[in-house]
Amino acid sequence: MSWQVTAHVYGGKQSSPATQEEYRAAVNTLNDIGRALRARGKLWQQSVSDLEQSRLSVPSCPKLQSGLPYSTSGEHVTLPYDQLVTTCNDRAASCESVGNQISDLSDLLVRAHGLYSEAELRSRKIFNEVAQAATQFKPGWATLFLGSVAVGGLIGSWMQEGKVNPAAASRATAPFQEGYMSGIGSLLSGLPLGLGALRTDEVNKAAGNISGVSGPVKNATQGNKLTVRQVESKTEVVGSSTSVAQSLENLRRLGEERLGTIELNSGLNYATIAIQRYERDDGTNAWLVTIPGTDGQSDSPFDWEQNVELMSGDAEQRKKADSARMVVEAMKQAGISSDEPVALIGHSQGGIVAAEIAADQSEQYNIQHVVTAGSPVANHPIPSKTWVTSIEIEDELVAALDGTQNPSTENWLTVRGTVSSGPDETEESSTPTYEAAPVQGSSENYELSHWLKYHQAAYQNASDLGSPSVQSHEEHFKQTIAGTLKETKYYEGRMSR
Amino acid sequence: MTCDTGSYSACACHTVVENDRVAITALARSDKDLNNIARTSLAQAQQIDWSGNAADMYRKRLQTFAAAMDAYDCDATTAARLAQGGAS
Repeated sequence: MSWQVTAHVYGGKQSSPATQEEYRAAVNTLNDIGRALRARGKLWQQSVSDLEQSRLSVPSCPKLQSGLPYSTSGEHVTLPYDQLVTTCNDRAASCESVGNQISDLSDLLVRAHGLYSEAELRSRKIFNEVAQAATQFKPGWATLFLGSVAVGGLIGSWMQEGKVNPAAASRATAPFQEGYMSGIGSLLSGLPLGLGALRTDEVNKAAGNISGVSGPVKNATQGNKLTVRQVESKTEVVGSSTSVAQSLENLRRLGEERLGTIELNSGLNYATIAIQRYERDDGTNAWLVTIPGTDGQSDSPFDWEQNVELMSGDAEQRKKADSARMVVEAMKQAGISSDEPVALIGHSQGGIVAAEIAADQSEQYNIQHVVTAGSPVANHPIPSKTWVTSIEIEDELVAALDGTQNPSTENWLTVRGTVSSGPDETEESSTPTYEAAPVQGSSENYELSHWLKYHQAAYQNASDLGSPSVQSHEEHFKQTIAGTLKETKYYEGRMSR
Repeated sequence: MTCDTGSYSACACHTVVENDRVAITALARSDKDLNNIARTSLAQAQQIDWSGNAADMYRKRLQTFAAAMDAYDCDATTAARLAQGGAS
């Protein structure tokens, strides 16, 4: 068994109302046909039972029971019951199977065009607000409840895999994570009960309060002197890109190489980002900045505490986060000027940094597109001129840490992936159904879906769907970095006293 | 029910067979009507403006299902013929 991800698309450029109506009409038609065929299948199935009963309904008539209409048997009659039953059974199975397949196509159409995404978002918002209010009202009970659900998940993984798997706890608690975080955020930010329904930035306010303490403590322990230097890579880690998918793959390679989880023999170390210059036909430059996530090293600007500062609702606190400072410094060293188009792509903390720069450095840089993977950035005040493509997995806790859903606007697209177990290799059909995309290299057991390969699979599935929203964002990203790759520079950051 | 082997009209097998004939023939007939509706609807559903890998697969499968409706017509015909007492 392996894992696969089914993508749902929210926001982005929608089709015209007339076109949406056409899609809905097609969905209704397919659903009607699917239902009618399944109902017809049941009728054929019922006819099989009826025929079998009929055949035996006259016990003293051997001719009827024989099912041999051409045999000589006086004046009695029968029907070729065996053949009839076989034909009716085949017909029942066909109707059931085709009916289901047609309904599956209808679901695909719904997903590809996000036909009910707004309704889904509204439902989730209501659910989150209720969970938030409950958490704020009875935090102890809410924590106990969430803990119990998590323990249930752990026990389930123990029964299934023979060992306790933390990823199962994240999966079990997934529906409650945003609401719970928002409730805790409301408590920590001192928000009166009930007011949470009117705002979405409770976690960011709380993060601001916490980082008011954690930032100085971090500065005292880790130091606040940031050193950013260009480093050379012995091999190509971040290659040329013309798409979000390629850039995600480059992001994964850099992220895993700097942590040593893959061996590309580049010599790159932790807290390293990549900045690429693309030259357009008219000689002007475009830039792509690739930013991996938290590495947890004691002298790294991408340590754990910086996440709290980056999540603050206060712009000045966010700007002080070492990881954001490092990327801005690297962009300065790379020579990016204020009018040159820039795309930023980041995973986890890297995505928050990208959102922070788009929000807080919009005067200094021309940030045209931000791609985040597994990053809680819903409340970052990114200006509408910047397009945002966010990829999140339903059961990854990290993306839920903002306590709310991302804005659903034309310029802000969210691809939300749902993980499920994939078909066994022997079951795999040669014809893809696009119900989900496989997670390359995933293990048999539950694993944390915060791994970038899950986001890559979600984006792959969303791309395969041919959603107009995804296509327009893909095109915008492509245009932002259009040109020939001229140089790739790597920058490493270190903290000291 | 009982069967009087000496009386043609008295044996219930005739009623049973006739009822089964009527039921299967009616089911087969309405099956063809449904297949016709399905063919038309599937053709309409192909007309939407949608491109990409999933859209290609969607159209291909709708065409496959539409073609399958012809085969299902044959199945229904076969069932009706069998119900009339004929061989398939």
